[in-house]
Amino acid sequence: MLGFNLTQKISKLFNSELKVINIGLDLFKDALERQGVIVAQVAWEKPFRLEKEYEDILAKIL
Amino acid sequence: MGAVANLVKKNFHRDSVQLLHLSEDAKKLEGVKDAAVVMGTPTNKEILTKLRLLTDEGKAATDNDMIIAVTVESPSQIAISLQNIEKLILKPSTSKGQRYYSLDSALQAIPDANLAIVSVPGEYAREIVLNALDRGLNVHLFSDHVPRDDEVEIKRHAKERGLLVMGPGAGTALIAGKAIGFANVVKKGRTGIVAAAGTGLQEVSVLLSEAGIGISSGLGTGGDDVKSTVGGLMMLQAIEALEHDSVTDTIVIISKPPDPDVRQRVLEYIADHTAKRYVTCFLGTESYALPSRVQGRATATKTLHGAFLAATGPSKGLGLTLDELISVTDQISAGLSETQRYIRGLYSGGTLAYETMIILSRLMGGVYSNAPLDSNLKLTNSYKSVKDSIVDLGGEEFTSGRAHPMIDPTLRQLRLVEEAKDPQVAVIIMDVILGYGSHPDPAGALLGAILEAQKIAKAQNRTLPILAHVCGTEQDPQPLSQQSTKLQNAEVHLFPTNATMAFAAALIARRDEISKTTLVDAWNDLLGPV
Repeated sequence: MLGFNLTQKISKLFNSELKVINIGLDLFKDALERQGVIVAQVAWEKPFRLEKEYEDILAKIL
Repeated sequence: MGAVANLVKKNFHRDSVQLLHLSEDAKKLEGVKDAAVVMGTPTNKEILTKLRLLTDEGKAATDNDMIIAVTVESPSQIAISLQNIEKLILKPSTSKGQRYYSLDSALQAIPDANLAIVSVPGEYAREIVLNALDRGLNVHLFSDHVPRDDEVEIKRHAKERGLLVMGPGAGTALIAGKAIGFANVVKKGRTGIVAAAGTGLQEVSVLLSEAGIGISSGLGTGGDDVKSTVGGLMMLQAIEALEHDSVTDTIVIISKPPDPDVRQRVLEYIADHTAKRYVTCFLGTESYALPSRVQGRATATKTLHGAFLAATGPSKGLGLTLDELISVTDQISAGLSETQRYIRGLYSGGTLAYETMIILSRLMGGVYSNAPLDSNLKLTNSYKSVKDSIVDLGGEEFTSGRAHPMIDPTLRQLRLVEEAKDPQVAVIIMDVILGYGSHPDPAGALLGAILEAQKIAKAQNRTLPILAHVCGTEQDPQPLSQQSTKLQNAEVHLFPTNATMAFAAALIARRDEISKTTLVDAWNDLLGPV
């Protein structure tokens, strides 16, 4: 098949031990760890955003 | 009644699952009668109003603010209770294990990681996913609300690198024998599933597993993958990968109706580039033709139940005949009054709600919904049912700023009691979805509301049949038999598939109105091959 080499990395995913980087909800890390999967949890925080009022002031200054 | 108070924390964010757990912990604090910790979205304010937990202070909160709402025995307990809830919120996470502060530092810990799961708010997903793909990781993108342009860019990036992006909005995957996101513990085997419909993947994988047919991989693509703008990029990528997977011998494809050009592209791809056995399930009321070149190795179906039957082959099946279903529904509907004519469906699974609407529209005409088959039948207020209504409680208007109903039963509990108050309701139907990701005891969480609903009907001399389909396996964290027993003990009638529950609901609500010919035609057409 023409696409054989192109999807090798996906086929490898199907047939290798699953190892996961989880970015976001802890729920998914916990569920995978209960199934014996190795998971590294990346702590993600919503980027800080200034309130509109302060954004407007900064926009005038800068 | 007690005293109600709200405290608003401006520009303060926690994710919806953390908020759910905080709410549960807050309810257990001394002196607290009821509590909720939510972001100040319109949905959450509506629910706080129904729970009698919203004050003027909470009403003024915005989407970016957190509302701490509490009911206590007496006003003197307000200050201390709010302080105690704030302490819970500010307590460091008790989640076990190391946390990393970048993708690269996590990759140093697991250099041979092969999958990234991303569940950040959709507007932030693009950069994270592109980084993961550049590091050779396949991606399960759980996030909703990813801009369409971002989705196309991400998926083209993945395709160029020979990688898979499942999502955005992909809730379910089964890979290497593990359940990812909302997924069940199913038998391993040789059938692969590609689904642009999360609970569709759950229903078909569970039914196949229970019938002894194991699953090799279950790959979600996200519902928008089959829109023309995305072009089925990941559906085709997943089909190609499963076609080359030595374990897989049969491939089931599940989707709500794709845009016609995408459907054609997928069918042509199967005809021209594959050799394995295929079952297509493009959910819908209309038939579609497979290219003549695949006849003999591919079967087209239009319900999840139909896909299950086609994949198992003629020798298997459910062991439930149409005549048996008629007999069961005759018994259930025996005590109903003449004025009880309507069905109310309260769903946590969007694809299951969709399958139900296909069946009901065929048997009794259109039904109202917040996500209807026909836009003329859209509920003007998603919180208020009209005549026959099938409500997808996982719809955006219900999940903005709160956990999905598979995790948080609050919305369905409230709605079930509301529906029971309507004397024209003949039957209430629900899905109960088990598996990883779901509530630890979804049936148990519904029991209080079920009893309350039955009590309301009984006080008005009505019977109110409640039907449910439990989508799960005995190996799930919430074993199927235990969950089923809880519901049966509460006099809930259980059905082996969502489709059979939909047929039963129609027969109960429209008893004597649906001719045997219509019924048999619909049963054969919707549950059999196209």
